Formats: sequence, C-alpha cells, structure tokens
Amino acid sequence: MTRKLYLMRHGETLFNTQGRVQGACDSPLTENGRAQALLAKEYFVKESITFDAVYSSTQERATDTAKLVSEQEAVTQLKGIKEMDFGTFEAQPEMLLPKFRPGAISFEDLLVPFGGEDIRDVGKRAKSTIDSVISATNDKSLLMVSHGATMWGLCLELDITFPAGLGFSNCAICEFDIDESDYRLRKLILPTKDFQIHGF
Amino acid sequence: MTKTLYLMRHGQTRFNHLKRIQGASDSPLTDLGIEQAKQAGAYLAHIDFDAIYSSTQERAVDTAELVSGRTDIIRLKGLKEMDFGTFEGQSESLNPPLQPGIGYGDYFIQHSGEGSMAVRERMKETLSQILTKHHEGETILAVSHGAAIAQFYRGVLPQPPQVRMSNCAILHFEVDQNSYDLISIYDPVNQKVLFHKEGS
Repeated sequence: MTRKLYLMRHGETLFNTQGRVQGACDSPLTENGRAQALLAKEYFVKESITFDAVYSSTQERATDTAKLVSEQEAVTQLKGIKEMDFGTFEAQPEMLLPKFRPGAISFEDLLVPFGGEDIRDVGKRAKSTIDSVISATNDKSLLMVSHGATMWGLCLELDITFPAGLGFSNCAICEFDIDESDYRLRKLILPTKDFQIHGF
Repeated sequence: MTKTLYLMRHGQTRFNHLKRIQGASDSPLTDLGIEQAKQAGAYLAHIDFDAIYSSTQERAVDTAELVSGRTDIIRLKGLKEMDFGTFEGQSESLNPPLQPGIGYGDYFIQHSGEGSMAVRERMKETLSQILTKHHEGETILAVSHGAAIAQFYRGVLPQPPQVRMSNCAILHFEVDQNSYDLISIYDPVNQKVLFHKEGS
C-alpha cells in the first residue's frame, strides 16, 4: 500500500526574522509565520488533502504550525524530527556559522566540534523516526511538521538532490509516496513562493 | 479539604548555562538539567499526582516527564515563561536591574515583550482554571518557569517570600477555593529548604 507523507517546515519565527541560528533552540512563530501556516493549509484544502494523523517535532514552532495547518489539537510530538543541533551557535547570528566545504551542499560534520550534530546523523534519525511511525500505523495520509536542516538531512539520506538554488522556505512541503521503507519524493510545494510546485 | 499544587521550575538548559535570556525562546536541558529533574523526581517520588501540567516549552515538558516518569503531560501555553521580546537569546548582561516586588515591570514591553503584570494575570488565570478541574483532596504538579512562577506567587500571596527560583525549585501550595497557602519552597538540587511556613 502506497502512503502519503506530507513533510513540511514550520512557519517563520522570531529568530528567523532576526537572522539567528535556530536548531535545538526555539522561538515563537511571528504573525507572518502564522499566516504562512494558513497558506499551507489553503494548499491542502484546495487539493482536498486530509490527514489521518498529524505529527510534529517537540519544538513549539513545529507543533503550533501543525495545529494551524491541520486545525487539529491532537498533534503527536516526536523528538526524532527535531531540528539539527547547532551547538554553541544556537541563537547566534547566522553569519557566524561555518561555511560549507568547497563543492559541498550541506554543513556535513562542521558543527560537531561545537557540540552540534552531523547533518547526516540528523537525516538518519529523522528517517528511522518516520520509519517507526510508518511501521507502527496504517494511516494512509500523514502530516509531519519538521525543520529545514532536518528535511535537508533526510533528503541527503534518501539520495534526493535538488536543482541549485532550490531549498526549503518556511512552510515548504515535501510530498512523499512511501511503500514500506521506500520513499519517493513526488513534489516540493512552496506556499510562500506563490505556491510554486516542483515535480520529481 | 484543600487541593494540593506543586509548582516547579524546569531544570538547567543550554541558554541558562550560556547565560542567555530565555523567555518565549527555548533550548534543550543540559546533562545537569536532566540530573536536576531526576533529583526533583526523587523528592516527589512518594506523591501520586492526579494530573501533571507543563508549559508548551520543551524544557518544561521534558522536566515534567523526567520528574514523573510519565508521558501524559498536559501542555498549556498559559504556563509559559515571560516573553522578553527582541531580547530573547541575547546575553543576560543586557537585562535591566530587577525592581523589588515586580521584577522587570513593564521594561520589556518597549521591546515587544510582556509586562510583569500580564504574566502574573495569565499565570493566576491558568492555574485557577487548572485547579477548577480537580476535586478537593487531589494533588497536581505543574512545571513552569522562573519569572512566571515568581510573578504568580507575588500575585496570590499577601506576603510573598524573597526567594530566587533556582532550577527545579518546588513550591508546595495548599489551595482552598482561590486562596493559596504556601507551605514550602524546596530546592531538590542542593537539598535545601528555601522557605517554610511558620508553625507548619
């Protein structure tokens, strides 16, 4: 049985507007962030997509986004889809972060010396967390609200590559078909970019 | 007959350790914070709570889970920490001096944060609503935050004690209708009684 997973990023937060690193730390959704979540909801309503179960990370920005998008109070929180931990860089200006190695498309292990996570480990923990949910339930349509670097890590783990310049803006939605442990990315929907849809 | 309320602060977080302002923002419990929560759990181990509440912030939820060994924590936004606006995640050295009896007063309103009295009122309102749901003789635990708890007890006690809310400090109240009687404040980390009602 093929199941649908809608994996999306949370809406804009205070730290996002201040250009500050927000991984394991958290800050509240802004007014704009809440409006973005409602835009994402608009997409699901328009496509007549409903959810059998709604999940988010244990971070409030993700849980609040999930509630706004699904209009459901029953959101199951999962630590395994939390944002990547940026160690001592948490809440510092983003400009202080290390630069990717030449040719790299992620931080790889650059944050590890600062007490943070290797993005490839983040992808692995996200994958195994989602796998556990998939194997423990029969729900056909799942919404999970997670985070930018964690979604990127998951795509690295799944060998999914994106055209240069394409990334996860706030409330970006990855639509996956899942068969057992086979994940296929079908679409990337960007509600805050005029509902751009990229097919895969 | 009375209702019994245990109200406590979360364990040490990364921002506490780094001396960053942490109100509406959030960061993970440190290893020490986890240990503190377990010490509080040992102190409260003989109590069978009829319900456990926490704020929606992960540091409080995680503390509540560690203290109780339970996962059925009821999360309420009304128990969140005071919002320090644009100061969230910045160095604690930027905080203004505390004013006797009111803490930061209205200082953070100009920086898009919350006023002390607003925090006091929402904490009173939230805890009063929680207690209304419980019967006489029942015992509940609520995990909240330093400034929020300090505002709350200043709001409900005629002669509030001058106590610094250390991590995992536990306030024990007996509540008769809407009248709060503070029995003790205990610091389970240093195993120290910070306050004890005279004659009890």
